[in-house]
Amino acid sequence: MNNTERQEIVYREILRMLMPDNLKSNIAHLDVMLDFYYKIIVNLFNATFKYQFQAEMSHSV
Amino acid sequence: MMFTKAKSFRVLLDGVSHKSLKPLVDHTALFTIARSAYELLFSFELVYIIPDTDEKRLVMRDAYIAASAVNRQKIAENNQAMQNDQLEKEDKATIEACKKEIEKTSFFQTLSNKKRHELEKHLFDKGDYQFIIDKNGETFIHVGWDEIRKYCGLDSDILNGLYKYLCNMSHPSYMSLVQFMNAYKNGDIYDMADYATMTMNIILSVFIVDYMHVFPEAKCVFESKDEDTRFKIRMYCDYFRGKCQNVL
Repeated sequence: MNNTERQEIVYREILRMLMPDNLKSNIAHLDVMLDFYYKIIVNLFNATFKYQFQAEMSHSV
Repeated sequence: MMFTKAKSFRVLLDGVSHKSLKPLVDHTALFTIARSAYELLFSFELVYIIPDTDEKRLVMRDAYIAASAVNRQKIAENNQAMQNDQLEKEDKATIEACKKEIEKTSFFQTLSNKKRHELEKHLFDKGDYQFIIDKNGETFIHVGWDEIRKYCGLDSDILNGLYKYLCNMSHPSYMSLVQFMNAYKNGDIYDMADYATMTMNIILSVFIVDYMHVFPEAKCVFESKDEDTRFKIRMYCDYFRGKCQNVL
């Protein structure tokens, strides 16, 4: 086993220990990724989601 | 589409209520979204990440577009109510255009007649874009959702059977009915929701990291984040790909 392989095993073990182990932490983790991804698609690529469900519903009533 | 899936998943985690009913979490609905997000992730991987040249990426993109037009045609063939002449014309034109583009590539031209026929049948008759072109231009067709991950560095044993599990939990199988019944009796719902959320986190982490690879502009946003946030975004991807160089 070379040094890089050894480092990777250690790193993976650290990651495994740091992984959220309950629903609350997993949801908090999901929120972090959602906030980040939202920032990318909305701020960077100008995704607008202009056609919204609420608007469609108000037309159909 | 990945954002709206993940956000819908997140909303469901807060539970849905009806009149006097207290908010409930339906884990089968969570797994249905997770399964769909899994397929979306690996469609993205098939088109953008697995191909090692721009030409192969274009072949996969055209295959992806053509397959969806082929499948829409098939639906119309089997259901008169779904027939739409205008759409049918558009789909036919789309399929033809994609076919021409694929045939023009050096990848396609170097295939043997047998391989060409095999690929065309797989793609244009079956409407299946799940195939891999490896570094040597070799094609592998009939690659299932669970196999695709092995071509993009996600061959960790821990992920073995994950897709099958997502399918089982999404379908109204007997196993899922029994689990549903028990989930609210003994509190299993908590563990189910926890596992579904962890799965969604894995999918989202890999997707975001690979998205930044395809759209490097996004890296500026990533780099503007603090170390803790960057770590949280990448950790599942790093863990399952076994890479540590970019974080340490």
